[in-house]
Amino acid sequence: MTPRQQLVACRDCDLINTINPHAYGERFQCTRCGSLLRHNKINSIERSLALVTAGLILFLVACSYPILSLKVVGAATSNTLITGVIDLYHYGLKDCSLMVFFMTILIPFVKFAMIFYILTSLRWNLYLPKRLLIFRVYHIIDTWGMLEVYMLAIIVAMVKLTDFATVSIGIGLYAFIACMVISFSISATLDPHLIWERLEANP
Amino acid sequence: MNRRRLTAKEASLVSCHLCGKLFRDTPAPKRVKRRCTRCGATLHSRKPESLARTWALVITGLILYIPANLYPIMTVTQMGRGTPDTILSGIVALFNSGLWSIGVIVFTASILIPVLKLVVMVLLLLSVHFRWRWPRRQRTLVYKIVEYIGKWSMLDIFMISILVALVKLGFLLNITPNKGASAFAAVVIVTMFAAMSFDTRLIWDRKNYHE
Repeated sequence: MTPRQQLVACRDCDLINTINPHAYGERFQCTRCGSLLRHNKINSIERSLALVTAGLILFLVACSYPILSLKVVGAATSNTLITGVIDLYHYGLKDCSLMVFFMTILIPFVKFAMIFYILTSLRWNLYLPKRLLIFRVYHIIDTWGMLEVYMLAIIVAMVKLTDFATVSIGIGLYAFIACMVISFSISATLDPHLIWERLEANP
Repeated sequence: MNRRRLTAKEASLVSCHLCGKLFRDTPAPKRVKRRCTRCGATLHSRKPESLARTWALVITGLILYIPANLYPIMTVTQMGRGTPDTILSGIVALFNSGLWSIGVIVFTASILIPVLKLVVMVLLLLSVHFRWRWPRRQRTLVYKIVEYIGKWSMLDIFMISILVALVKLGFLLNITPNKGASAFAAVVIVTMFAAMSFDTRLIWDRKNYHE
């Protein structure tokens, strides 16, 4: 084993593999089960930071403007991200409303904010407090952000309603679609191993 | 180079489940939790009580699946006449009104995925208990698929939250949510936790560490 190499245990099958953590742009897979061990992404911090900045701004837009609006003779209604949560709460489904709030508003927003905090501090070498804790919480809540599922729900709801009334798309929906795309892109550009290592060196 | 390659456990190493850092697995006194020096997560070689926890959550999911499908999830009131919809009747209504593309999506998310997930989790648990010869790589792949698709079952709940907020046209057309939605959301959450508590490394272990 040369000094540039490092031992890692596969997350899925526990086999010890040797990788080179500094190989630029390289992907390493477990030799037994094929799981991705590590992917050294190119310009990870800069790219992710650009995306997350856009994401934060667009998320505020997505929250404040109507997503869909409905028109039937004389009557018109519209919804934003939060109105669904409030209405579920008023109809007595408090558990459901809380879940929808967490999965579609709070967690996606907190995820953007956390990544923004960590990446800004790494990019400009600012020693901001609690970075390791924040990145750990980010990993724990990661699976519970469900922007893409909500997106599909919007499409299904739209198609369902076209029979009854005219449905039109609001600014909120465009911003929401952008947020979803950005959130996917961040998971493609973010390199958690790099961040862990940088944070460990300067906690 | 024909030497058998070691797992972290066999080499007395333990990797942090969160950040992946490797540690020497020193026998710690009981009830003292070792923490990762990098990220602070609790260190454990295998997820604690993985099989028992997963069984408990899978069984809870199976039980909750009954009220989730029997009770209505929402009521559509048109011209003062209300028709409560269960998950299944909602899908049938979609097919009847010719929206079969949406029907297929909702069917996949609300019925196919939860059932598939529960069945696959039970099979994976049994395969570990009885050391089935089901190829390990295939099992790992099946697990990963099940873990990923779980969240798509929330589709119905999100759709209800959108419809309830949007369709408030008084006497003309009104949509209200029902208790079945809570039960269904609980199924999704519980099965997601079940998938998270299962440890794929148990599939690969040559010895049964869990026994």
